[in-house]
Amino acid sequence: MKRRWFALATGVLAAALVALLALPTLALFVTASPAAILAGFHHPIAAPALLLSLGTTLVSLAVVVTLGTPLAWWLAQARGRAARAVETLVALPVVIPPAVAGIALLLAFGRRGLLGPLLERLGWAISFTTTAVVLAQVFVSAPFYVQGATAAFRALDGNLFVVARSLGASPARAFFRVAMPLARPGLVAGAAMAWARALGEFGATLMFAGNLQGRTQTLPLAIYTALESDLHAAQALSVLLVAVAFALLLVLRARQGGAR
Amino acid sequence: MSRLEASVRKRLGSFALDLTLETDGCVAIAGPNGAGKSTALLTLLGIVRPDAGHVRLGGQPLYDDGVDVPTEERGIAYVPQDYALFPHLTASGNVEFALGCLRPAPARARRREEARALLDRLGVLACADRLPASLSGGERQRVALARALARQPRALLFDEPFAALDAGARGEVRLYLRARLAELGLPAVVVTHDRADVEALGAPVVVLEGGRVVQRGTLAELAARPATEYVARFCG
Repeated sequence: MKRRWFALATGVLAAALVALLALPTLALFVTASPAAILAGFHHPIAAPALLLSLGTTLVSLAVVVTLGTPLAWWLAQARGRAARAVETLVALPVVIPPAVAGIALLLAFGRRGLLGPLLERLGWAISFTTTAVVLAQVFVSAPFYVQGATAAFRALDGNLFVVARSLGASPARAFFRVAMPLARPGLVAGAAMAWARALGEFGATLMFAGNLQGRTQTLPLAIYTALESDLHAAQALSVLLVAVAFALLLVLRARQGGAR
Repeated sequence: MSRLEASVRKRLGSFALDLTLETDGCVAIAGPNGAGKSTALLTLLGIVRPDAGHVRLGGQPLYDDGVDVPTEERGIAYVPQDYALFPHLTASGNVEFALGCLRPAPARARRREEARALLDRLGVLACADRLPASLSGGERQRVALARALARQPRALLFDEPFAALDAGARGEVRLYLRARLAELGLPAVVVTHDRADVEALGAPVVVLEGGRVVQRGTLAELAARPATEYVARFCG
């Protein structure tokens, strides 16, 4: 009797959470007809936002992977206190609220920020430009890649590199021919998470880059803007983001399944 | 004939390694767990940097005052306990990797040919296109040896080369390795904690305990006058 009561209670509680998580997503799809959602894509706000999101997230992903891979490799090898401190620092943007990230970026790169005078002398204004969008995306998404890549590199057998070196491979050759191919599934998963995070970036972008159509208005900002005038347009863009996120999740799951 | 000479001291926390070694053939380093056997190999390889001492191979200083030849240029092949075959490359790919590190590196087609010749020489040509995960322990060891020889080494280091094998395969592989090492005539250091390994290899032994050499000599010499309780048990 007691056991049945427990099974029932856990079942109900678990089902409640699943419903809570699934219902809003379901609502996105069922509260408007497919035709209305499709029509939403014709809103003038949609196409520029879509292009801008695609362009900026690809650039920010390239920056994150190019700078993040060497950092992750170093973090995976280093043992000292400095490395642990850097690792904590790199993880910080994950727990910083996006609005705070926006203020922080403004105070660092804004006209009156830390690097403001230097950037002004170089004739390079960053805040409220597309560059600011990319910078905000890099700031919030880099930790996801670096953490994934560090874990992937750490999981490799260190003896493989000792052997590679003893066979005459330079550290660079050992990295590109042994570490990179073996860590690839983890690197791809980390990059996918980072890209998804960059694609959804809203708060920091709004504060640091503004909401200028064609320049800084990415998909999440366009959703926010469209909400005031055309709910169907907002809904259409939301459905698109959910579909992309869901597809990404499925691909990652399939890859993990294959690796096992 | 090349000769490996090393005298190295290294402090790692509360542990201190102090090893002197000279050989132009096969020598075994024996000792209990934590005696510093593996650290000794990594020091010869140049992965662990000694605090003091020297390492010379065929008269060439690899480590000395102002000299620290990087691992990839030492000409010392290393075969770790689990053989560390590259899991994403086939047996042939593993050997080709080593051939590709030679300067000048042979062309791709030539590497493939040479890899197959080496695998054939070691009796594992049938494994050429298989991934390491599908090979038996004995096959892995032979592929690892083929890969080590592909880099044209001037010395070989083995860390517990028989520990990963089941008892049945061990005896055969021991004799096999002994024959190969005799044929190569290179300095070779074999780390082990098993008397049967030393016996089968017919090599003199250096016994390490707590990082220090407590005794050296042939197995018979050690058995006649064991310097420590461990040596007595080892020869037991």
